Formats: sequence, C-alpha cells, structure tokens
Amino acid sequence: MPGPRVRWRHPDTRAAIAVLAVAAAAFAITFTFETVPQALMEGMGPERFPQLVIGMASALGLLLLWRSRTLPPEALPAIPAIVFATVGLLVATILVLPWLGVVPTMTGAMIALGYLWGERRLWLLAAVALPFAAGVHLLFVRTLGISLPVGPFGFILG
Amino acid sequence: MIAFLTGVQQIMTGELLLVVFIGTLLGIFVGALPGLSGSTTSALLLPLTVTMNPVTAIAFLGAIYCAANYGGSITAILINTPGDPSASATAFDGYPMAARGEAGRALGMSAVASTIGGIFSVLVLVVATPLLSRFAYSFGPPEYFALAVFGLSMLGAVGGAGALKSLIAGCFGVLLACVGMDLTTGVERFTFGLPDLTDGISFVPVLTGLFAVAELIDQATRLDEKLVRLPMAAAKLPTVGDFRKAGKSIGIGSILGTLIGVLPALGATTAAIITYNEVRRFSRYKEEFGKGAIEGIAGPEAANNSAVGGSMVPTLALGIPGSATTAIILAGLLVQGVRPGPHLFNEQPQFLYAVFGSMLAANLIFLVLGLFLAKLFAMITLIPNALLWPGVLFCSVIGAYAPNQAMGDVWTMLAFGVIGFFFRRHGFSPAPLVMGLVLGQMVEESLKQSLLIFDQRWMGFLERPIAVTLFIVTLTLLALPALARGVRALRGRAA
Amino acid sequence: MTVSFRHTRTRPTLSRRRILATPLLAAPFIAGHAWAQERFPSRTIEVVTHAGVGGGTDITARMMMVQAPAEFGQELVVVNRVGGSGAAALAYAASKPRDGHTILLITQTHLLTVMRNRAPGISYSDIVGLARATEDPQVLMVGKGSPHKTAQAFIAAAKAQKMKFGTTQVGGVDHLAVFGFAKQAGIQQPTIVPFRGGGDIAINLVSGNVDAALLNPSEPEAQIRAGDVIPLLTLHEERIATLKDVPTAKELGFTSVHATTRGFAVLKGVPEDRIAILEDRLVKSMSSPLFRNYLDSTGQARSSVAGRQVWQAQLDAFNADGREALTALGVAQ
Repeated sequence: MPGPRVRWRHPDTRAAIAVLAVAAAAFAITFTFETVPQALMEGMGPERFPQLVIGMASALGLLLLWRSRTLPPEALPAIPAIVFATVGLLVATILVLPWLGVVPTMTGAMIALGYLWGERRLWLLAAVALPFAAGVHLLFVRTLGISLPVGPFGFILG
Repeated sequence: MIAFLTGVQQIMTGELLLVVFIGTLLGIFVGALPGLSGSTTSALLLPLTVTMNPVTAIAFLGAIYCAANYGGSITAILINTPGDPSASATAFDGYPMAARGEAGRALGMSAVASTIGGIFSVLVLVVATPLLSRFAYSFGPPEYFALAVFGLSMLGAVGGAGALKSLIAGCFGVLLACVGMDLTTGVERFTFGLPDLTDGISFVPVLTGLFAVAELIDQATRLDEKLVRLPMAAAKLPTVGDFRKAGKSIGIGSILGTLIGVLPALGATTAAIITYNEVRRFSRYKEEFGKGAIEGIAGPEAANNSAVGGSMVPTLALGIPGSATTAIILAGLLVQGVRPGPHLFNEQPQFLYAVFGSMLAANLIFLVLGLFLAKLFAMITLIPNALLWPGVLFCSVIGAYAPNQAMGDVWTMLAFGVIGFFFRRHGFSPAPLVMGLVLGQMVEESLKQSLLIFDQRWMGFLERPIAVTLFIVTLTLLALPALARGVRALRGRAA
Repeated sequence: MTVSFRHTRTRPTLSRRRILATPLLAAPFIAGHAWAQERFPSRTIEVVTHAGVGGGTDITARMMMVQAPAEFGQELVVVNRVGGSGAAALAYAASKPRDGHTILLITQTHLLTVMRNRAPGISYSDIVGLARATEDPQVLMVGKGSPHKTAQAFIAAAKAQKMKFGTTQVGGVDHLAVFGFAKQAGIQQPTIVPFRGGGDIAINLVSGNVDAALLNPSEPEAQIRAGDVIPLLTLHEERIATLKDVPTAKELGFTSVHATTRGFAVLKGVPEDRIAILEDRLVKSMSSPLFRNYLDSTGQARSSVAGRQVWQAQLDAFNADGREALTALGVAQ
C-alpha cells in the first residue's frame, strides 16, 4: 500500500478539498442570513436554494475526491515567481487607484507591468501608455461624461 | 413583404444611410471596448437623439444596438475580454483560435455569422412580429423555469474538462448568482455587509476577471516561451470549408437567438450561452469545443445578433423592452412621441421601416467593415505580450469600474482573475461557471415565483403545457446519447 | 434637422460639451446671472444617483442636465453610485463637503434604505429636499381574464379571498404601496409575487399568473390600449389625463395615494441661500421643453416638477407611512 503522502499530491485531491472547504464555508454563511418576518415569509426561505446548490457542489466534490484516490500522483508545474510579482502589482494598482485616480494609476501600472514582463525600453512603454491614457480620458470623461475618480492629485490632469 | 421593402427603400435616403453608418461604426467601437456597451452608449446619447428627427433618431439607436453586439466579439476573440457580456460565449473558442494564430479566421466567422443571424431575425421581425408577440405572453415563471433547466442541463458537457469538474464549476456559478438581495424575501445573502454586493455580484467584472485577468496571470507563467505567429496566417479569413462546417451552427444560433430574444426577460447573453450548449450537442466535432472550434464562434455570434431582432418584437409590439438596450430604444421612441404597441404597425409604419431598415443596413455595413478590418485587427495578436497585456489590463479595470463606478467591482475582477487562474491550473473551465451565473438567478427566481403562483404546489408545473414540453425535450436530449449507444449496441449484436 | 445633429455627421464621437453647448449659446446672459449670486455654484456640480448608467433614474438626471448648465452657469456631471439600494449613493454624498456642489437624485428607495438603517450615519432628518422631478401615480390594474371588471367588484372579492399581486422587490417601494393600499381599501393582505420589472408584471397580468398589480400607467400602455390589461383604480389625488374613465380611490370613499417619485435633495448642512438657488435653478432646468417632452412621453404630468415645499411634504409623508408599514411587516429595526 503506497503512502498517503504520494496520493495527496494528485492535484484533483487538492481541488476537491478546496471545493469542499468553500462549500462548507458557504453553508455556514447561510445560517447567518437575517430571519424573514412572518408577514413576508411565503414559501421558500432565502437560504433554501443556496443550500440545495451547496449540497450538490459538496456531493460532486466528494465524488471528485473519491475518484482522485485511484489516480496516479502527478505534480503540477511550479508557479514561477513572476506570477506572484504580477498579482502583487495588480493588488498594489487597485490599492492606489482611489488615491491617485484611474488614469494616472493605470498609466503607471501599464509601464510597470511592461517593465516587469521584460520590456526594458522605457520610452516604448511610455509611448504606448501615454496615448492610451489620453484616449481613455478623452473618451470616458470628456466625451461620454462618465466620471472616473481623479483622486487628490486629479488637478494635474485638469 | 413587398410593401415592407418599398417602405424601407423610401425611407433609406443617403442622409439616413450616413447616420446608420456612423451609428454602426460607433456601435462596433463601443461594443469592442470593455466597459462601454451598446446600452450604456445609447443611454448617454439619448438626450442627443431627442434633438434629431424621430426617424433618424430611431435608425441611429438601432444601428448602434446591432453593431455593438457584433463589436463585443472582436475583443473576446483577440484578447479574451468580451467587450459586451453577450460575447462571453464567443471567447470560449474565439480566443483559443486567436492564440494559435488564427485570429483572422475567427474574426471573419464572427462577422459573417453575426450578419446572417442579424438579418434572419430582422426578416422574422418583419413577417411574424404580431404572431411572436403573443408568444411572449405565454411565457410566465413556470415556463422560464423549464427553459432555465433546459439551459443548465448541458452544464456537464461544456468546457471539455470532464463532466464532474464542469458540474462543480456550474454549481458555483449558480451560487454566485444567489449573492445579493433575495427577490422574494428581501434578505441580503452573501453580501458581507458590502453595499457593492446588495444588488448582486456584477456580471461584467466577473467576466473580465475570469477571462482577461486570468489570461494575463497565465501569460506571466509563459513569458519565457517564444511566440512565433505568422502574420499571414493571422490575417487569413475563413475558407469555404469553414462555412460549410459552421452552417448548421449558424442555423441553430439564428433560430434559438430569435426565439430567446423575443422573450422579454431574456437577452443576447442567455441566447448565446444556450446556443453554445446546443451547437456543441449537435456537433460532429465535440472534442474541439473549448480549444478553438469555429462552430463555437459561429453559433453564439449568430445567436446574440439574432436576439437583437428578437428583442425588438416585444419592444415594438408590446411596449415591453426585451433587453437593456431596447429599454433605452423604447425610451427614445417614447420621447419622440411614438407609442409602441400592436397599433404601431398600422398607424406609424414609417418608424418600423426605420427600425428594420437601419438594422438591415447596419448588419450589412458591419459585415463589410468586419471582413475588411479583420485582417487589420488580427495584427493585434502579433503585438509583443509586454506591450499588449498592460493595455488589456487598463481596459479591464476601466471596464469593471465604469458601469457602476464602484471600487468593489474592481476587486471582484481581480479576485475572479486569481480564481480563474487556479481554475485553469486544476483543469476546471470558466465556461460552466459563466453559464451558472447567467442562468442561476433565473432558475431560483422563476422557481420561487412559480411556487407562489401555484400556492406552493409542485404539481402545478404539470398543468403548464409549454413547461411540460420543455421538460420532456430536456430529458430526451439528455438521454439521447445513451439511447444512441444502446441502439448501436443492439445493431452490433444483430449483425 | 437641428444644429446639434449636424455635428454628429462630421464627428462620429459625440462630444458632451458639444451637446450641451447648444442651449448654452442660446442663453448668452448666464455669466452675469451667476455672478450676481455670490458666485455659487463655483465649480462643477455632481448629481449622485443610485442607478447605473442607463437606468431610469440616471436618464431622469441626464434629461434634467441638458438644460441645467445654462441655468447654473456651471457644468454638471452624473455620478453613478450603484449598490445598497441607495446606500452607496448616500455614503458618497456624505463624504463630500456640504457646500451645495453635490446633489442627490433620490427615490423612495433611498428613504427605505435609511429607515432600515442600511445607510450608516445617515438618518431621515439629514435629507433636505430641493425639487421634485417626476411623479408617476400608481394604478390598480387587472388582466383581461379577470372576473372583476370594476374597482368595487375587485375590492369586494379581495375582501373575501386572498389575491396575488405582482410587485417588484419584496420589502421595496412597490410592495409597501400594495401593503398600504390593501390596508386603506380594507382588503386581505395579498400574496406578493415579486418580479424584476414592470414589463414582466404586465405580461403576467395578461397571462393571468397574478390577479392584480399596482403599476405606473405608462408601463402597460400598449396592453391597456389593446384591452389586455384593464386599469381599475387610480391611487392619486385626481384622475389621470390618459386614464380619464378610471376613478380615484377618493371617489370610492377611501384615501389611498401612491406614486413612484424621483427628486433632488442635499444632505443637511448646506447653507439656506444655496438651497434656494439650487431649488430655483433645478425647477427652471426642468421647465425646459425637452424635460417636458420627457415627462409627457413617459406618461407623467407636467406638474411632476415641483419646488421643495411640495417635495419635502411628500418625503415626510412617505417617511411616516413607510415606517408604519415596515413596522407592521416586522422588518423595521
């Protein structure tokens, strides 16, 4: 009998456990829903349908777990560091977005992402990003009147 | 029909054609841009159209509506970012095609299928509007429930990642559709006290995250791979063989799209999703789906454009808009003093001619433009990743933020980007999740509404002929593969 | 063909400035006009709505804004803060200085959100009405298959039997109107079948899936004309011009007035003189032919546009009724 650690390595096992964990969390949340006053309550309560769906997802997750038992262990390719850097950059971008405003932040993010991905010609990155930003600003803010947040430094853009 | 063509001919002056042309160009443009949809643009231009003469205004809005639905497919194919939610099914196969260097084929097919679907639906609109409008009345909650079940019945088959994983993804899609205030009790569910979630999880950010941002993160894992795409192959248009292969899909898409479009509660997005399922079910090349099947582009594109004509039926004949954009067009008609309803066909036919004529013209214009520009657009796939994807990121953020102007939507987009990345890594497909999200709300709400109407008797469904028929069709189609296998086995034994 | 249209032929992307420039040119005297009023407004005014771009309330705001720059001497922009049934819009307005440069376009939904304590830090007394924009009366309607062809017959039947009413969101404005009407008419509280919009309700009235509904007269207009939907009773002070034969509740001997309203408001703290300026300019902006045309086309009376006295009184009345209804339904905290 092969050791459980080897079986544990099959990616489907991990996926199934993730599915079950999310389902369990969602199921727990359904108990925190506000109670419906009697006068409004007719037929199905708000928690019934989600619970039904969660039940189905859990059953399918268990099936996936059961099926992955017999699969040969297999390793997924490692996630390269650049992926974490990219996601980190995205998080940072969205964090500063309300403060710097959409157009300046996204111009910076465009250049930063291009640089991170190995394009070292900064002039080229800027040459792509700046007209892009100007275009978006002109189209959304000036032409269509959809307001985008400008942030405290919005005055730079007028 | 003759009277109609004469009417259209009379109304289609050079000036009006120019307006339609501008509307079409504008429509393709805003349709392709994530964050600007046909409905948003029409709404923003509504005050302007008030100053136009009525026929011009309606033709202008109609052209934008038609072209925006086609435009959405351009970005869906090129950068995996549906420019309009209705193009999400197009991304399932369009992007894989573009990724292997066949953007031109995909774009060309999208233009042709869209035009055929669009023109088919306009012709149906001309001939059968009074008839079809009664069809809308026969669809109540029980019928919508049966239709949603029909749509969901194919969940296990889509995505090409194994039925089990697709069903799990579909369940989570349906669960996501539960987020927000419950229609029948007013209770907030899974909102965590965040106001951005009370009206439900926004569809566009989820879509942008699952497709565009997940692809961006995935690209980061493959930066070392050298991409060699031949410019000539990228710009190649579809061949006669492609059209022969996709003919059936275009047919299925046109018919389903028109019928689903006629139903006021459903629009182009649902039409495209349900069609994608059906096209796959009846395809001889099932294994290609999700990996770049040309039928997977033809069907949904024909469907989302024929849904445009379909949704005009209840708008014009009943005064009940069949989609977000037709709601704006309806407002445009009302402001111009046009009262939609059955009498419109006798009393003010010139407006119908304007609508029909402009939609026909817009379809033909974007066909020519689409085929002409496909070669040019296809070159976008040749831009180096380090320059292209930052631009996609910019578009995605704007697309997620602009419609509701909520930062929560931008976070939703990022979260679904990461989820989409792990989905792919573990062999789950985003397609069933999107389907669950589109149809989930309809399943739950129509079920609860039906039970209220039936005084909580489940047997009530059996008293509704259309619903029963739909349930039977669903079961039959589900059992069909097994039946076919059984028949084949029997024959084998007999031989 | 009009002037502003000609621009579209030469410029495919339509400039909002261009659109707004037309009325601006027509009123060259506004610069001096604004000067006299201590230069308020001194910068762009934000109009905050809870509807997404293209939603009904958003369109109302944009229709008002076509004429407004000429009246205010300043640009106006719509800020869409969707979410929380108005909570996000109220929170946004609360984060801005109370100097009159941020105005809200509110509906009864905002008030309900405040009543249910879902807009943190804002209570009803913080909302100051400026001007009413639209008022769409509710009308009791049944499908053509209904056995009750008059309001009297319907009410008599509804006393004996529990009817099914189509509404929008449970616990929302339409639901409260049904609750209030049922109480005022002395009928049994009906079963609520909620739908996503007025169009869906009209269809389900025609097909007989629901017994009745309170709808704005413009929603099922085509159905009324075709005889598929029958309006029975107007819940308004007087009869509606387009539905002359439909009696009001008052004529039947009970008071029941319900309407879908939208109007402008600011949060408490804006100086009184500025409130007066805002009220004046808003009413003027909404007296433009374009806005009148918009009201006509959506089946609303031109008297929908009203100053803050009328609007504030209506808000107060709704606040009192709404609280009572929520308590009766057991959802008020």
